[in-house]
Amino acid sequence: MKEEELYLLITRYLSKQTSAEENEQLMDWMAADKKNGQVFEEVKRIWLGAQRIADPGSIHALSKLRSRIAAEDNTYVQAPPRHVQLYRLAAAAAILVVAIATWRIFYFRQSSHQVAYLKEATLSGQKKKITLADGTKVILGPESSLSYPASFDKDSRTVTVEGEAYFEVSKAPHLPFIVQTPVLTVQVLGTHFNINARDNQPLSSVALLEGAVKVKLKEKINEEYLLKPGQELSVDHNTHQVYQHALDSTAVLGWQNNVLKFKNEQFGSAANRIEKMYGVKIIFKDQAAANTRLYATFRDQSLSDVMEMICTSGVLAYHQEGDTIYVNLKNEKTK
Amino acid sequence: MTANHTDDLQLLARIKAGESRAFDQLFLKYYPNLLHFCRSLLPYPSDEGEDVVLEVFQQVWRHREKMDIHSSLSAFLYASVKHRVYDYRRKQHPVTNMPLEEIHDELVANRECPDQALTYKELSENLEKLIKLLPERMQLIFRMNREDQLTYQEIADLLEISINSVKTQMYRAIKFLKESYRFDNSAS
Repeated sequence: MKEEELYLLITRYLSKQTSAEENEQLMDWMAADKKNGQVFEEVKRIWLGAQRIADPGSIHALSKLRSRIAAEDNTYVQAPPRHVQLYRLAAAAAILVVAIATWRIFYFRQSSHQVAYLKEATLSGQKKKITLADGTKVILGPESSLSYPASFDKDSRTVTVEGEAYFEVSKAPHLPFIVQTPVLTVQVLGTHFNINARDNQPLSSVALLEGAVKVKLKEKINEEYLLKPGQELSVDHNTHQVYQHALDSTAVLGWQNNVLKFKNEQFGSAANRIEKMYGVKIIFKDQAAANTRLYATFRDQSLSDVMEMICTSGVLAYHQEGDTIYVNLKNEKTK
Repeated sequence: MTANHTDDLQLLARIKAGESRAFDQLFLKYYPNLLHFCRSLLPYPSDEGEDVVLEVFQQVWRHREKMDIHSSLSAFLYASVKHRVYDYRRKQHPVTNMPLEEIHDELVANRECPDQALTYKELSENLEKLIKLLPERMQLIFRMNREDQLTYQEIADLLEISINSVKTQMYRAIKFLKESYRFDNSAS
């Protein structure tokens, strides 16, 4: 990508004027090289820093405008003082309500040492969008669950995830946001990231798109890993070996938009994602079929399209019985 | 839909309900850049630009109940200014001073989410100095895109130039700011 194209892409992304495809292009570029993330941060800094500045000339011009309007519309100038009062009153009421609410929760917690936790869970083929009390947005992937307090306490924001979830954490520097999974503890410093942590899979992973996160293993509490944008960290559940690598935005985030991406992956391990997305069960009749390597991207395609494509390219055959799909090597079937 | 558009739609709804405070906020938000834009359209340097922009806002207030914006509010304001420049008549009104600082403070506080406003405040002041160094035309295009969230196409139409020259100007502005800012930082 040319520098010009790139700078414009980054700034349009920050102004939310890009398409999903352009976002993907940007994420792939960022993942391609460490230096790219740095360029992104530099452009981001000047873009977000360039803000409208108070201009004394405007205040003067506004007073002119007010008197002009007042000459033809007498509701205009009288209005502001009344509004100011109402506004102040409303603000006071809100503080009061908040104050009472916090005191009650505090009181309740002190007496019983319990916080009300809410739990959201999805079935296979389902996704859920959840907005937490602090404005943090979570997209919960299929067959996953999220536990979170109905309201966060004063010191931290802690939630628990099993399965896959994408987070856009609302910024509050004084309140660390912490995600617990069975294997990992992820401390967030205001950011967008994806977590994949399933007990029945060999790996747990955290992928970071923007901001920074700190990851700790529950088994090795002293080791900390700091992730940078465009990086992904995976932990092997058995060996507790940690891998850090560049993230592939589609492979990591595809599930949100019904995108499946397989990069030279064995069908056996990829099947899990197909099962989740379409709510089916895949059974391999022979190991050779499970070992077939896949290299493909599917966007919003039907299950039969996906299976047809995989089987045609991989010399495989499949048939479906209800929610179960059986896959085998083609020549074996013809025997 | 960008955050700026959503903010503007909320402002517009309050203005339609007759809330003059919301109207003041809208004015303070867009006035400097509209004035800049307006002056660029006038064939000679003059104070008429201010009158043109004030008249546009006066019209907005007068017709607030009938206002129905399909594109973005910022694009609508720019287009109105452009239209009016060609259709300009001078008016005179007495001037009185109202206490306005308060509204201005509120506008500044609402501008971005609070912690972002805090993080970028100092940076913002330094950058503003650099933005002022950009050539007049480039500065206008940069502010139309960055602050008022107009698309390249909208800017090209308003200034009657090609979309490619809008892009080139934007690229040069970003490059200049990025490089000068880095230079400033390493120097201090």
